[in-house]
Amino acid sequence: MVKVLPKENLSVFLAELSRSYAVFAPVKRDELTRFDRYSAGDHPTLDYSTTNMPPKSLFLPHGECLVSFGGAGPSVPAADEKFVIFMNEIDAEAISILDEIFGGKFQDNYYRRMRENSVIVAVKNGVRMRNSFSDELGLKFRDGFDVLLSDVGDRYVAEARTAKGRKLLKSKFIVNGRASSKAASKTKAKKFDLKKISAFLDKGPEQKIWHELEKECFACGICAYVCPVCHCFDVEDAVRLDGGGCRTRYWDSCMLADFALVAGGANFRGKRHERIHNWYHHKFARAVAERGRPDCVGCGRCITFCPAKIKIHDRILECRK
Amino acid sequence: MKNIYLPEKAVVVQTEELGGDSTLLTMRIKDAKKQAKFTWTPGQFAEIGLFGYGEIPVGLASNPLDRKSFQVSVRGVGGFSNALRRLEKGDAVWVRGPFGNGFPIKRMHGKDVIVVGGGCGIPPLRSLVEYGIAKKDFKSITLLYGSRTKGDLLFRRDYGRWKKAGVDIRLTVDKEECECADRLAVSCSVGVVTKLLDSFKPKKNTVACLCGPPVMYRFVSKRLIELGVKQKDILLSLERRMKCGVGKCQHCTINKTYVCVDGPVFTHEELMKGYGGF
Repeated sequence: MVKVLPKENLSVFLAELSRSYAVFAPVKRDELTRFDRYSAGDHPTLDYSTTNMPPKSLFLPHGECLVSFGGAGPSVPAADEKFVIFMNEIDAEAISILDEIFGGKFQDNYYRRMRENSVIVAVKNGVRMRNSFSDELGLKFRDGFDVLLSDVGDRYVAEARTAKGRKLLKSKFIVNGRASSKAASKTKAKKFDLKKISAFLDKGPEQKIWHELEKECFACGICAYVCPVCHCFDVEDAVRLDGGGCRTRYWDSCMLADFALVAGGANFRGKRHERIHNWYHHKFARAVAERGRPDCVGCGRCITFCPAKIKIHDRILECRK
Repeated sequence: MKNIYLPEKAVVVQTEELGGDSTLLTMRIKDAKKQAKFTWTPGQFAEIGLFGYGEIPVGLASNPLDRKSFQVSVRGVGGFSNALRRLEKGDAVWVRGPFGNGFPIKRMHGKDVIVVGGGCGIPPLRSLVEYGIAKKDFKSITLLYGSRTKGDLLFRRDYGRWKKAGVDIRLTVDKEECECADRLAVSCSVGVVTKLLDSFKPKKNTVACLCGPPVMYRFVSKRLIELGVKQKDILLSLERRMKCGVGKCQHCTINKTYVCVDGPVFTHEELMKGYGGF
């Protein structure tokens, strides 16, 4: 016997959850599917093919106040309320990578408390995201989530992975059922030879491919903003008229021209091809060396939303040579 | 748990104009216990901040064995650095750190140390020189320091004391000026800092510590290697946009390293391994 969430129970289950938590889920808004706060009457699109923004903004908000100042002196703003977020398995994998990045020797308290406040429900449904290449990356889907919902047609098989997850599954709308006999979805053969790709990227930015890409890429940074793993940030003091304000964390992008600019005018990645190379190198060489896996889950958003229509997947594969 | 982005309050104890658009700030962390624990390895940096402006990474410039206060030199190049230069005794500053690795002083024990500085790259080297003098840790210290003009040579007040302590100081300026009233405790030649290496004969155990602009690194490293200094014994302190200081924000990366965590001091050997550079 396993726990099961019949699909017809989904909306009542969400309504019930939203009484104790803020609930976030992919929902259709103005023709776009995006992660938004669930309210009664919403029909979440758990089998989304893409969302314009990844779920990272809930854990690493753009414009987060790190320290507020003025008046009584600097203080750390209180954490937001507890929330539950539904996302697919690929996006949940990205969160597990962010967990490693913002953990480690220097723990990022802000990220950490968002994670402690959150319950992640990963949905496994075999839906291929637009331009996705997750299967080719050979993702292992570590346990970066609290509950796993596996879509088996008319119902989701629900498994709790953590205490937070078990609490969530105590709902009366989760019933006992049978394990699925449905075969796992087909997976493509792993194509990404990270060893080879990483070795090529280590050759640096003066390879032909980066000079070619420089002619196509606008260096606009969209690929970083829509990436569920990209996390580089800048910190600026936002000041109010009364002199108080917030030391604020903003999303940044290594593709932008002033990313490595220092006071005095030296720019350590002033050339576009150097910045393009760095984006790929970080994801597929440095991250692999640091943590044994790339800073990429193959969700395909960077391809889907690239205004220059660069086939990033193909470009990575070119690096195998 | 410690919040890595929350700075510690410090107070400006003294300010001193150094010339070259630079100001030396002497500071003390408000919490006496924390101040007593605030020490570093020469070459490490701290994030110095003012609320309403932001933070900048600066090399710690004083003797790390002095636990009563610490110093940084700030060159006024932008709105924030100039705001720091306007600080007065008693004003509050906010500090995070120390961060990074610093010079490998354990490995440098008993060695002949040559310190090469360019322009406003001298502050972390000053920390090293002061440490070396106080600890008598190195066999010898030779300081080669070059800047554009005599007025840009920082820490002029220290040269006499350093010389007395046995430091071999050689200075140079890019251009000779007839109207320079500064009287230095040591003589000063004209030319780029590499020129000072012409008369320099490294010993077998010489370790070189460099801090200055990338162009200086290129020429000085080349010359040192020609003179027989091993690549692993040439240590360079790099400048990058170290925003967070803790290896998260991604601004300061070179190849597979974070300048803020793995550096800012690297050996020439390390930097030449990948596609990196200075």
